[in-house]
Amino acid sequence: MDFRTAIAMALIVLIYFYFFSPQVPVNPPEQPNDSQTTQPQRNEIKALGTLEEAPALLNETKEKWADQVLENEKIRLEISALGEIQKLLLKDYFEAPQSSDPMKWDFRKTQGFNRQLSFIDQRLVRWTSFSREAQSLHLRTKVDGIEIHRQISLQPDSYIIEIVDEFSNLGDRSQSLSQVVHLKREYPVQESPGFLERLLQPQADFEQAVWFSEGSLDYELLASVSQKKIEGKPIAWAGFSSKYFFFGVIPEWVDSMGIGQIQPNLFEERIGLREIQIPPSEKRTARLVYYLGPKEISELEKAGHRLERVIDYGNWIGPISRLLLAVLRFFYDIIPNFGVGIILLTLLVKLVLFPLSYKAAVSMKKLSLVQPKMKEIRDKFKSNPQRMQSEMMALYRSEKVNPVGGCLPMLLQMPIFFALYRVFFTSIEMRQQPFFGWITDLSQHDPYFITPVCMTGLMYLQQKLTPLPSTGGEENEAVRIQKAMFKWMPFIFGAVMIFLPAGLTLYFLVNALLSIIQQLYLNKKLSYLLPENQRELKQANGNA
Amino acid sequence: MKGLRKLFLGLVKSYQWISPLWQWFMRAHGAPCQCKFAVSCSEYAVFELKTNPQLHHALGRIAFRLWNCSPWGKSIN
Repeated sequence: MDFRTAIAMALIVLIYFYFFSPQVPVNPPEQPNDSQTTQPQRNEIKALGTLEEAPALLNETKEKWADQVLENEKIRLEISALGEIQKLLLKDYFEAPQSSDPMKWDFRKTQGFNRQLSFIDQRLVRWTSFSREAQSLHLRTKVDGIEIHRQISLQPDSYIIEIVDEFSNLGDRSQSLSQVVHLKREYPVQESPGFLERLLQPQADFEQAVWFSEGSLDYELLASVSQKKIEGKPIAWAGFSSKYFFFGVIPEWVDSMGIGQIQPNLFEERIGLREIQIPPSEKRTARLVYYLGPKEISELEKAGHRLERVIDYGNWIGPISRLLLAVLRFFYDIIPNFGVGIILLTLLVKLVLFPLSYKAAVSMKKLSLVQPKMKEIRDKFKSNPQRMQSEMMALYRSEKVNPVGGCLPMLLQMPIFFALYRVFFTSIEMRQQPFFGWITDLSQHDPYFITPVCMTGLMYLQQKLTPLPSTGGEENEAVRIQKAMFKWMPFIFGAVMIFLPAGLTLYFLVNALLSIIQQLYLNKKLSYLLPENQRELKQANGNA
Repeated sequence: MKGLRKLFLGLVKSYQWISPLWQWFMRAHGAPCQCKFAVSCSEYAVFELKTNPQLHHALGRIAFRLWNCSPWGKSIN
């Protein structure tokens, strides 16, 4: 392997991990300075200034009322009377495969996952009365002639917690209302995940602060976040996202948002809601929805506001990924095993794309047969590419060769493959799903590395069976790099796949196997194009 | 102009380094692809950029060639 080939292959690995791994921002985000502070920022800062007095008040309030339990078919919450989520249990998700221990989170160390503070004319609202109904908590208070009622409820059969504040101005003057939501997340961070870490453990559960703005998902890795402030952009929702779970909030009227590390291993998202005016004798309602649950499309869709986009399938290939996932789920409904689903989906994609592969194989075969003549033309008109081209075209015509549309139709398939990777790599459907035998979790790597080894062997065989693209007799450096790459890539790819999820490896294994079958079929089917077979065919026709 | 010519040449050369990657990628998915023209578009582009004295003429010819390489370009048969 020469130096340039080695560099080309290193480039492949880099591109591969660029695609699969979340990216660490290169520059720290800019800090706003006082001179740049706008009016809404000043309001928020002022409100947060008031907040400094708040913990003592809140503790005093909390002592009055004990934590409450809200529960539905999917979730069990321990929640403070103020609506701060202290403990979370997801009933349908378990700590480990074949375990009966449901997934649990304890937010008490951070004094709750969320804190929602309301300010009337920049004075913190303190609740004075509390009551409970079957599935909802009610808080009431009166501040400066404004009657406030907060209702905290858990929606049935979902992961959605709704907090509705109703403000009735009974006084004779207009009052301003502002709200600040704090989300907190404890996450042990040693240092930013490096390239090598991603290489060896790419399935690591990278925790991110995420927010959805103007139709696209933005994020900051907690491992590398310092301080960030987002302003002047409509934010639909925000929260903390891990590979399979999302804890966040869908607020109304966001004014600004800040992300930062407030203590070692403790991160906070601070969402300032837009100040609203409540005229005398009028009512205003502020509704907040929290989602604490799996990144499962059907569940996220229940919350609305395109919350399903928190699953990072990518902006461009996202729709294809979602379609493929729907097909995968369809197969799962027929045969409840995602491993079998992967095999069926791979087979389906292969069948759909077969006409294109067939056309490409025919043109490649024909081109390989006229290769000697092409070499002659190439040697003859080496210094005149225009003439060489017209001679080549004449040759194509006389030999009835039509290389369809070059590589473009083939390249159009690429998004489908990338979308498939995303589905197998990021979908919670794969989590803790067994295939058979030793593969007990499709989202984790094969514990005995059997599938990556088999995949490497099959890929190597497939590369051997697939004809090399015709170069018209040219043997330049690019052709040599190409040949070396075709030879070594199955091994490099096999090494990369060792620690990737078994579901993804299974896909490549099945794909390589199907590609071998396809190639064997094409080789047999296209053998009629060989000159000896053509002669036999002509003789047979002549005899007839 | 000389710098611009070098820039385009650099872009084409970079593409030539990367292209074996996606060609392998497509082969691995059972969809090997084949250049439509025997002097590939990138080779043609390098030739034009090196030999055509007028850069805009070279770019025009390259663009025309790329269009012909697309499925909507001129048919061979």
